[in-house]
Amino acid sequence: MSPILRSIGTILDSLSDVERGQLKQTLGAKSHQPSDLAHALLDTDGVLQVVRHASEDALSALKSWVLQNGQWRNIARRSRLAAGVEELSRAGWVFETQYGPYQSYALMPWELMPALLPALWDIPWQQISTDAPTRTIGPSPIWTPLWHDLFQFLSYARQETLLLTTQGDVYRRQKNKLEKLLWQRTSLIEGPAVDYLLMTLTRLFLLTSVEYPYRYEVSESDVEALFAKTPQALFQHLSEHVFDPGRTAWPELAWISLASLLEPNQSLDISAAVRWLASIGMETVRSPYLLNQSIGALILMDFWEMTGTEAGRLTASAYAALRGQFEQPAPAQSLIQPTGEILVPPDTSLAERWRLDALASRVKSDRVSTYRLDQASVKRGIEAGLTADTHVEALQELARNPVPDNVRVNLEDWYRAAGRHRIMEVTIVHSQRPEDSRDVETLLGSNALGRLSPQDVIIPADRIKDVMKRLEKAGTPILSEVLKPSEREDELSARHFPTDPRPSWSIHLPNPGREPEVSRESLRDLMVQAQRSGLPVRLTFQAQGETVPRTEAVIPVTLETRWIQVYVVSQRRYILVEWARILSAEPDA
Amino acid sequence: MNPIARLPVIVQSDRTILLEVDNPQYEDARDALASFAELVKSPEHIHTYQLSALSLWNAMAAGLSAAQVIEALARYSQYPVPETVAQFVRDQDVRFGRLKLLKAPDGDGLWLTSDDALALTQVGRTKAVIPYLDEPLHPGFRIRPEYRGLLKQALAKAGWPIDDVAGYEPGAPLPMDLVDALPNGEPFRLRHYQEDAVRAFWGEGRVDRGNGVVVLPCGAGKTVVGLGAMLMAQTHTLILTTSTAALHQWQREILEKTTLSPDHVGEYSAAVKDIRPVTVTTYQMLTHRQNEQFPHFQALDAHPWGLILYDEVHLLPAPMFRLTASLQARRRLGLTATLIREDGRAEDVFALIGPKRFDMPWKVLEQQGWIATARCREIRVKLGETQRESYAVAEDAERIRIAAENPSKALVVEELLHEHQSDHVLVIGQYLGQLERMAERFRAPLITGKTPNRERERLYGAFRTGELPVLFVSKVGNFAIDLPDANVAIQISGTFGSRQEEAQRLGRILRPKSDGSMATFYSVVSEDTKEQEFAQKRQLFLCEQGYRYEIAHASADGTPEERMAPVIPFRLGQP
Repeated sequence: MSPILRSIGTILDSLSDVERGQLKQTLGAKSHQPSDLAHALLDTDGVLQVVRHASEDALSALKSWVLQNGQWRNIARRSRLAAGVEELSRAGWVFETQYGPYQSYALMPWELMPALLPALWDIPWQQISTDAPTRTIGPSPIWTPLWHDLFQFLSYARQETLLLTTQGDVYRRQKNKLEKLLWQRTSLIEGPAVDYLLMTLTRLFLLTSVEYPYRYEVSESDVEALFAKTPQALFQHLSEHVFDPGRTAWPELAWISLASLLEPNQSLDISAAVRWLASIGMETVRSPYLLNQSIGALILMDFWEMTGTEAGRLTASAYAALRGQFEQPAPAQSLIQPTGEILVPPDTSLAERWRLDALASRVKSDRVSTYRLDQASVKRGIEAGLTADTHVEALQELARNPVPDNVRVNLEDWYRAAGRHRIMEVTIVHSQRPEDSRDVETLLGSNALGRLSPQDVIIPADRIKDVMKRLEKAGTPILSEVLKPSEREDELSARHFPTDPRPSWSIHLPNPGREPEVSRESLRDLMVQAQRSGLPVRLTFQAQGETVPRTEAVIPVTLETRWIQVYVVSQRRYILVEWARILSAEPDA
Repeated sequence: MNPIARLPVIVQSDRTILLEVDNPQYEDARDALASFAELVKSPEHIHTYQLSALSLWNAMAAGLSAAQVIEALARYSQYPVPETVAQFVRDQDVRFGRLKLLKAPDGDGLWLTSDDALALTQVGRTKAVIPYLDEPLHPGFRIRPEYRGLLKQALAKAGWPIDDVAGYEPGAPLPMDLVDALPNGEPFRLRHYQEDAVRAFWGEGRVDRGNGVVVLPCGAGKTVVGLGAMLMAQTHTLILTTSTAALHQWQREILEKTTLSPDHVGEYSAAVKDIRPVTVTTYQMLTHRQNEQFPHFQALDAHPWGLILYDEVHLLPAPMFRLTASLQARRRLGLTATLIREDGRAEDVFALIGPKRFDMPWKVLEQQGWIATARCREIRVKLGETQRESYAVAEDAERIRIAAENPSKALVVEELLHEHQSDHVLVIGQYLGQLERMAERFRAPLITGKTPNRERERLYGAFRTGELPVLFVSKVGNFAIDLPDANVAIQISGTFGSRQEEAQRLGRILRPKSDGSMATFYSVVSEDTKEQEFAQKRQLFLCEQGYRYEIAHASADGTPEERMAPVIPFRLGQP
């Protein structure tokens, strides 16, 4: 996920109570609760007020943020952009994200974009909008085609192994199966859609790649955490992925923001809107390749629908979501039929759906999804450590009707039948003779958990060293090698490791940081002297993308108008430093 | 709560329609859906309908437009109708009526024609259709009358429904009426749903009606619907049944409930070949083949029938498909309780006999008192030690037999017979050896395929009068035997996972009881065997009709076992 584009919800949830208190003061919000803060921050009149009173630098910073897809790149400390961002941060609009140990970025919540567009430019609505078929806008539904597809893929990956090629791509035959799980849309090219959705799942860290065999695995904890979010938070989370400026150069955020300002029964004339966006400085919007790709992605992500060959608008669900209208989940509304079928209504929360998905076999997924309680679901239940009673209890928590008796009895019988034989992996001390084994059992005391046979004593798998020590002390030597007769040679060398490349990140109110301590003139003089003498100076500067200033002994080599080239003594290399990023300099003692 | 959310229908993108039963608008929505979608299943809470090309073509033939169908869906739907579904409905509208089947202008056979020359060209190049096209007859093709059904079937499969307005042979006239009172003095008239079914079939005599299938549960009076159709047609009628016993039953019903005399009603069977204005025969007779000919079919086909009734149409034997196709010129009505064909040819039945014209959820009729209230119970009996060992080492086919013939079932049946000693009990099974052993053990008569017809009739008669409280029957008792007072059925073995067999067997006890009592259906299966798996599949149709199975367990010595559910049979329903 992008460190430079975040939703208001994510930002406010990341702030400490103290920071929220400060923000409350700045924004004049009712309380420091995230909902009140968000309301105050995104209030259209409030936005207009800030823009109206903004300096030229601040206006320029806002325009730059809009034109660069909702981000600022490389804010130099002494620049006008920095001054503008600083002014906006005083208005409570700018936050700072700490991404990994060295990087920090200034960011504004993307939700400000729809309010900023009309405040910063006169939008030629007559030219860029057209009439479209009428529609009713209700609350944004929980079970949209996109969530349907993502859920289906996760459910599939939970039950089948999604094997990967050496290039890290899912095998074609499995992609074919995934294509069949997609929501039936009027126009969709299934192949690219599957690829895009798989990419989305990996970018959302819901699927992670693991080795031996090389495959995707569902990250259960991440899925549970995501599905536990409110519909609004889910939408915000998804938006951070969709609008991530690092994903595409096409201005998707500006495009969606513009469309969200239309009336429900209006469409954007795509050509006219592209021309207008280009005219205000968004040049990348003109790229036909990026335009096609991005509109396609927005359609797949349920943000966009075409109303003509050259016109389109937000889907009803995205339109409602951008206005903060969300369908609220109805708890425990699934229906268990005596046929063993479970019908899951569309207003079921994703969290409940996910739990149910583990308890029954997926039959059909549609507006109302159908599951079936069968022997396969019992086998999965046993693997998950359920019993017939706990399985029924779990179902009961999700259903609006009691589990029918015949279904209960079937579950009971299947659990009894399927649980009769189990595959076990135990750690044992095997002895050659039963009498030796009896001695070992006596010596091990509480470390002997039981007996597998007259020659085999079961010991705790995590206490092997203790067991060895105890036997050694008692004069019963034992070899340290642990024999694994049930593992194949190649598996013995294999190690399973998850790959989670996420750096830690957090968001704070902006820290003004250190101000430059020397004037440009005295700094230049010092540098010229050092260049001539070849002696190092101690230079404190803030490198691009870093919040913590560095101090290094450097020897100036070239002095230009905007930057200097210096030799960093400790690193034995040359670097470029902008004058604007230098905070202090002094001769190196 | 948003009032929109309270609407009873959800339209799925795969064109299934879910109808919530516990909804104030349920009945209105049900009536609306019935006119253009097929009822697939009707379990307790949610009924499922399916929009298919066939159901839409039938709706359009009855005068509904695509806009009306979409509007009806939108009116009752909680969510907007998916665009893919709306598009499908519009597509069918575009296709329907493009091809018409008329009488040939020169009177020689039929004429397939269209205003759309391209459609005719496409049809003329469709491989599956070409064999049924005769010479070109501008614009279109001449069709031989015997290919009428096959052509319609092939074109339906190719996605080109025909608007068949060629009409029917009127048949020789036969004035008849229904009686006002039965011989026992009880007043007689068609029940409301029977009238509805007849009306749906007959359609005021329109050329696009007069064919099709009526689906009603066993015991709901399908025969009477057939009589209603005869009343409308007033023409010579051929009735096809599954067995001689059923044939005689039809004869009895006709004589009892219509003004026709024995002179009007003939039997065409192996024993008697008597063709009269109303003739009852069996499928076996019609499909009997001799020297590559169907002599009985040819003899019957020569008669001027105006109406053909197919009893238990789901059993229509495969050779009948071709023969039926040549009967297309006559009005025809199929009657069944369970239009499930395990060979997957249900669609062929619709194509050849005609579409489903009427269907009624079983539970609705039960609530209205037209069929008996039934409870279904499954008893899972353990295999004895010896049988368990044999089962473990046997081949698959042998396992099924070992499970079905589990001797411990006899002990359970003994308990059940003891419990139901004052009832009329029908014990139904698949394996003759098992049935013979049990019949001998309980000193009860057994009817199998080998039992002569006269003996069968005598035993059925004795069972009807109560002289015989227990009767064992093999699969010959699955269909079309009318045993009004049988109120308990015990199924001791069956044909694999046959859903329709299970439903038909339940149907034997569904006729409303004179004392209003309840019917009980037991299915005795061997626990932890293939038979238990098959039982679950067999029960599916009835569960989909809203029946619930109570499950109990018994040990190998036949004694009840207390587990999660109440145990057989005596403590059922008690806390």
